[in-house]
Amino acid sequence: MTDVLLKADAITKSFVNGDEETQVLKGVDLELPVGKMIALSGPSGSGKSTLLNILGLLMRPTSGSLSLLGEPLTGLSDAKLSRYRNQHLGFVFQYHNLLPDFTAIENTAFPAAAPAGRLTSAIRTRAGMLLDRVGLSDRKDFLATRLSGGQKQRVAIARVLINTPDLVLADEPTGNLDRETTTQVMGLLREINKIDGTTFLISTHDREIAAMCDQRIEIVDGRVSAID
Amino acid sequence: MLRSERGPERLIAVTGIFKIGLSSLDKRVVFISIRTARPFFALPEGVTSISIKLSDPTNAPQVSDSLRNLTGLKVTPRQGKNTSLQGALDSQGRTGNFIQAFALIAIIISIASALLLTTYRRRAEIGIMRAAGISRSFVAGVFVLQGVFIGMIASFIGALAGYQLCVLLATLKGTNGRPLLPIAPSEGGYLLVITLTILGAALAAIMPARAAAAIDPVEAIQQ
Repeated sequence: MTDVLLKADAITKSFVNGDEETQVLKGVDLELPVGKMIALSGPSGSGKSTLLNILGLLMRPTSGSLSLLGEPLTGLSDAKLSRYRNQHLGFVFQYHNLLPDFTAIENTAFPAAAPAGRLTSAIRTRAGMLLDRVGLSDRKDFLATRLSGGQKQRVAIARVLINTPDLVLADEPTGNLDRETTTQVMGLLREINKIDGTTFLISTHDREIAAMCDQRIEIVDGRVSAID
Repeated sequence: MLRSERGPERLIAVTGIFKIGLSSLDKRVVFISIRTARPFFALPEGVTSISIKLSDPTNAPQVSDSLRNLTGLKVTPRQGKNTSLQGALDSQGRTGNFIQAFALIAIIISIASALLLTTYRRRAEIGIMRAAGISRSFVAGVFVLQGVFIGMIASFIGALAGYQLCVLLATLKGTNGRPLLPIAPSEGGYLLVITLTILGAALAAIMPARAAAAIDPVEAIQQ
């Protein structure tokens, strides 16, 4: 088994607006090792979010190639990329992005329930266990709109774990939380990383969060400028 | 005193009055036995014409052709005898079909607009689902199913309400005691209407489904 979870070679990404072309990523080479917690930092506009979207298979690169666990992903159909995203990847966003009409347990369960075609009792049980794990045992049947910011983010983390992903991509996951909740959320991510061996790539401006990670990647002007 | 156009006249006792409903006919039509009628037309053994009642009047042209071929007599179908009346009835039928077709188009447009609005309102949620690995075909399928459900519910409610309205209208009677509208609620094409509405709703959902499936998850989540 390879130690490299996700490999990116010479990734570029350009956006065209009328006659104007903006190159956001200018040739990114990257290897994400299995089971590590990695911080992705850099100034605003450096291309962090674009890189996260490409690594998360939400956006296709203009050029370059990607592979996940040794499997090339370049040129795959949308249906196959969706399946990879569902089975191997997870996202935690700054604004949790829960489905407002769903309860905490339904939000947690839907990435597993949708491909299965229904919410089975096994999926519901697992979603319940994940909510127990993130400390929301008493909020399982609460609508997403009735949860606090920190609780929503914990539901978003439970949702990510429902399909036991290999890699979780987090875009400023604590950017909207106070310091105490930030510490709780980061502690939770670290616990999942240690116990489940899940790899995390966390985009952050926060030096303290970057310092909590095993590895730091800095991106400046569309290129990886440092890895430590 | 009853007098025919050919001259003979005879005193006849009226035993009953039957009204067809058309005053021009009621003034000049009498029902008498064939034996009494023959002398009026100087036909000791014959008849001037024979009218045949069919269980399905729309078959009259085919039946008249068959009778003409079998007997060699002059046979005129009802439609040919009353061309202007038949034309009016046909026009009325076509107008009804046009109204139904436009109603179906209105249903399709209404459902398509409602679902397009849903697509717009649910952009972020569709983006979240796509980010979680839900495929485009699943998202499109959800919208088509939604359209079909809307069609099913709407057509069942519509058919039931239509039937109840027909039952109510059929009970309305004029001053002469006759129904105001010749309605037979059991004759309504309910199954056809329900089927067409569901198919129309599924058709209406295709464009919103395609729009939902095409939503870029990155853009939707950022919004």
